Amino acid sequence: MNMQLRSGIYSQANSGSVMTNVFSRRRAPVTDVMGYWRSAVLDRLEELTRLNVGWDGYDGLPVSLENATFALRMLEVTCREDTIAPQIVPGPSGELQIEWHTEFGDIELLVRGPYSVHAWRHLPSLSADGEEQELTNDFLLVARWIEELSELNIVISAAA
Amino acid sequence: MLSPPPRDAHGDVRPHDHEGISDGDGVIRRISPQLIVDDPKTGRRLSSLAMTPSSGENGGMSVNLQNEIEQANIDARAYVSSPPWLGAVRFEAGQLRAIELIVGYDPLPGDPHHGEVWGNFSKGKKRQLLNIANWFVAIDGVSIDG
Amino acid sequence: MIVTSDRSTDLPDFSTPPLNEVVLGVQFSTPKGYLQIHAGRVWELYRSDYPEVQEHAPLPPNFETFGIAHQRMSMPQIRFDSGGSHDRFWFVEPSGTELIQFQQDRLLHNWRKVVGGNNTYPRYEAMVSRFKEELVRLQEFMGTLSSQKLQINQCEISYINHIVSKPNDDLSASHWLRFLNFDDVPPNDFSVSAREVIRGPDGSPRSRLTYEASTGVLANGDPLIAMTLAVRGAPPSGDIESAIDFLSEGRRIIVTKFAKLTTEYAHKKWGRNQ
Repeated sequence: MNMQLRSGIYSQANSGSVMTNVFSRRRAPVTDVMGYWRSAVLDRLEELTRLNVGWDGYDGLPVSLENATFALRMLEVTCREDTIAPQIVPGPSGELQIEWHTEFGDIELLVRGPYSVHAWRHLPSLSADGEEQELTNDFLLVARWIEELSELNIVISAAA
Repeated sequence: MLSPPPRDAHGDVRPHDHEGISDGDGVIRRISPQLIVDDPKTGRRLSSLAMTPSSGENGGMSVNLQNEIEQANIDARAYVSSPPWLGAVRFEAGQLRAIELIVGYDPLPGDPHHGEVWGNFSKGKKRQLLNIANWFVAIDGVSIDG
Repeated sequence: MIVTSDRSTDLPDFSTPPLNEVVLGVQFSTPKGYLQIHAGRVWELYRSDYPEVQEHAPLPPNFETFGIAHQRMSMPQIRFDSGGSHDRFWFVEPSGTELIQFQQDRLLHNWRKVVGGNNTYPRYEAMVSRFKEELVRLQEFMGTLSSQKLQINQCEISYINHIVSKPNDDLSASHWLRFLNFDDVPPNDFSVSAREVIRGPDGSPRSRLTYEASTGVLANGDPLIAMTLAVRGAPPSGDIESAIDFLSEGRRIIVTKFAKLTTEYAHKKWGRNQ
């Protein structure tokens, strides 16, 4: 259980009837510093939601707000504050793919839609086809993959 | 000129392997710069998502049919690199069929030489496609599969 | 399927709970063929009971995902300024106590206390029954635009409580809330929140319970503690029945947790029956 200061977003219709104290309305987050990845990802996702129809030379659609938001929520539970920003690539039907490519391995997360993610990774220790998994709402596996990839790169780079 | 493709009850083209498209015929896919990633192992290259079909019932991967373009006396490279920031890769139809994909004809009002590639686009298949593709209109400094 | 027509006898029950608002809601993928121009026709589905309409800023998409613990609890949102944006419409019944909120990817049903209103809480069973009917009507309408059913990808149930004191009452938060104990020197004001992952029998995450409490003041100067409990998550399948089941399970979680978080003193004040 996490116990922290936060501001929530609710669908309340009655919020105007009560004056909550200023402290509760404008709470500062625990840290105001954007994680290394967060600012770059937000910019890229916003760019992809603004693509013109036909961006791919055919009838490619912009990334949907729904998919972009879901991707962000997925990254919130898989990336640490100091995780390197992934690259993000649009698909033709509003989907997107989140990719990390390093010297020593790759991770690709295809977000087809909310709760429909194809996760794939490749490491030197795995077969050429890599390892893949279909995921819905639980992304602990991806968090581990990212951690392993980060550690692998640190260890091998340090040894070089 | 290819014969009209088969259509479903809604008038949409059904997945088919068009007999008028020979194995040696060029099948071209436009590539947007949005699909380029940086990979320290290989340098800039195409994402596997570059080889992805549209979603939807009859969704396939959009392509252009080189023979159809050239029979209309149009320069194929100029045709597929419009707008000018697009690149393009090329396959031969037989290469696609050899990996269990089918190649069909799907003319569109704004793109009369449009075709589709249908099949099971697994991760492995997408990587295979990048492996067998060649640049038709290259994007500077970018390799297809590294 | 969980039966919602009769109140479960094993749930905590209060004769005068400090309820101020209840929200039932679903989020769904924008139906094919739907444009904002159709919002007028959606209002017509409910207009006879909800004749007043208001426009509000839209709610952003919301998803509950699970993995490592969040480093921060406030989530950035994507600024979406491409093309038109769809207002959130409130369809309000004449007394103002119940309303429907609609946008292209959301339908919510709120009950709330209003000044001068009847303010009798209709109870969850009646509310969810009404909400289900409203969802079915919306689904039928969307089915006329394209052969489709609503694809529901998020459900939300929230209970907002106002625990009101009088200015001269010598009551601290600890009188009402078990999880707050400020010892001898209670603060002038506070704001806390907590989250718990709700897991299924197989251990996989199903939904998230969020509860928060903060001090506030009513317009007449009476101090209060605003205490909100909410359960959010994706229903097992995207259909209406699955969503209703999710909401009912969420209600069970909320009511049970509310009883655990509040004190015996509070329960006595609110007339706990079971």
